[in-house]
Amino acid sequence: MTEKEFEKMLASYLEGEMDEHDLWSFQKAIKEIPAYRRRFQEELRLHTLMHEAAKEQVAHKKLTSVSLSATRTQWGRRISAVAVCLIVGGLLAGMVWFNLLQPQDTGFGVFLNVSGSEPVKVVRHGQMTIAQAGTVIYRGDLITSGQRSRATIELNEGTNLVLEEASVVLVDQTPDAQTIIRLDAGHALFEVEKRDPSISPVLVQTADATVEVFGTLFTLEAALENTRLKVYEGLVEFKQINDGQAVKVGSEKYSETGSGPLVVGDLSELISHEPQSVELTIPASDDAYLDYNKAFNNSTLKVEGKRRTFYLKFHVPVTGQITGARLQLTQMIDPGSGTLRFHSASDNNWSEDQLTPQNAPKAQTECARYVGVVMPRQTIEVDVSNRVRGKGFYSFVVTMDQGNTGHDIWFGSSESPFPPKLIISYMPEDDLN
Amino acid sequence: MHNKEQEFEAFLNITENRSRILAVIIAMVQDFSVAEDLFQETVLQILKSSHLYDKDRAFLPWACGIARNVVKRHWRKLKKQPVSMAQEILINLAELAVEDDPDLWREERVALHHCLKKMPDRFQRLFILRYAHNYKGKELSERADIRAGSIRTTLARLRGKLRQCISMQIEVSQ
Repeated sequence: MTEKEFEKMLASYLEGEMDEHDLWSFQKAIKEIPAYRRRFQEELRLHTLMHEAAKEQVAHKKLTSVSLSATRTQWGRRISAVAVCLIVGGLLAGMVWFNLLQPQDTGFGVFLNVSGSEPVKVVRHGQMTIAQAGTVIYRGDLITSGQRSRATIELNEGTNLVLEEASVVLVDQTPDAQTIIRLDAGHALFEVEKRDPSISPVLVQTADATVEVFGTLFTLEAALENTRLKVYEGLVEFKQINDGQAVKVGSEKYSETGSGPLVVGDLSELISHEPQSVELTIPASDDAYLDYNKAFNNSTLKVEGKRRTFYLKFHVPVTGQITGARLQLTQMIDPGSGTLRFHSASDNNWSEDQLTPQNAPKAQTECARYVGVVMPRQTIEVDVSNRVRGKGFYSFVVTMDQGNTGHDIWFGSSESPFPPKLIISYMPEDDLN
Repeated sequence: MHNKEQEFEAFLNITENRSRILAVIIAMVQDFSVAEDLFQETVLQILKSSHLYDKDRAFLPWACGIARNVVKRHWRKLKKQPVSMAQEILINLAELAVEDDPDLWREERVALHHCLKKMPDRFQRLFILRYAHNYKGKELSERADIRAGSIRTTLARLRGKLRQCISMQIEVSQ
């Protein structure tokens, strides 16, 4: 088969116009001649990428037209400060949108903070990187948090976004500079800076709904089934994509997509059925570390194999039912990697200024573990709900498995700008009675 | 690992390998609309089977296996499946389709975006009609105002120009 004949067949194959006999010859040529095999792969790759790029272009044009029509509507001009909670469904349907858009050369935003015991990943041009505080975000970035990680993001145009656990969000901008935030899965808190009505609103998309905002605070959460919008303050337009139906949802109202028409209800009815827990952040009352059996009470908490162990003590003052507890540590000075083990301590009879190898509490049950890299300024978080059950003192002994030389990590202590924190969620007693 | 976590991991893997899984399906059905529907079905199957995935093995071959089975089921359901030999050939071609280097997909995706911006208007219209709206044959020729007999050649020329531009773009960026 000549090259010309092969090229003709290749074009015919891609159009689905090849008969069985030609298909057989085509396959034979591909299998026997490496150059034809490469051409086949090359052309199918281009064919697929062109299809994906074409669909992106069409989607962009649609978004731009939605944006322009929204700018002309009256409701948009009335919005000042809005607080919205939007719960989003359609993890699976959202996957159709997983074509990465092309990032630009200039940054579009930045990660202010990354916390938790799993990494937050950024997919850019199909390549994945791990986010940390200060990581620059570009147009088209797809950001995913893990089951136990969160991130706070600031976009240059003024929108702040807190990405909660197990969430997927894509940030982008239309050619006319409208910000588009697409939540494909998970849960996120958005704070959109109030903007002049002449400027395009921020467009928040989910798999089956859109929300346009001129200045607002809201959260997004992706479940498997549908999209739910909760508005705490202000007014937004909530549009269901499948039938184009739109409703205005004002303060203290909610709406959700589904098989029927959109209905707006009172948020209080919805919230009254949800457990209302309260969060409290508690600083460590004592923290110090032992290094070769010598105690240190300074701005760092160092941990390294058998050499360094650190101790934390917290006082939990609440009397309500505790529904969860997370321990947060932020890296300072020396990053590293390895396995960190968080043990319950044998007693609370120690203090940071009088710690000695003799009175240091013993490590007992391991209640949490962090495995992996701890990067500069990264905040790691472990779940210690199984340890913190009620009011009282709680001490933790933190160790690191013996690794290669130099595998140590330094965290900020209470004396540093990055102190350890115990964050508890609890039901206030008034709510229980 | 909890089932939800496995599903989420699978979700991330699908995200990273989307184009290549889609290419396997396109290689078998040679139609973008059908391929997109079957890709959705494949995603569902991958998520349902995520607990069976062995993390020590590569994700793509496993996912492509699921994609091929989804297409075979689709053929059976239609009762219009290609005759056995043609079916076998299409499956073989699909297997060969994604043997290439994953970096090529990433590099070429970026380069393609640059090249599309430079594309002349007459090609831009054809590109959208064929690759976004999935028009083919006579309908495509009418809508794109191109003689029916030369549609395939024009599309091949369009791909050729883009291929040339992509190569140059990659060379420059390196």
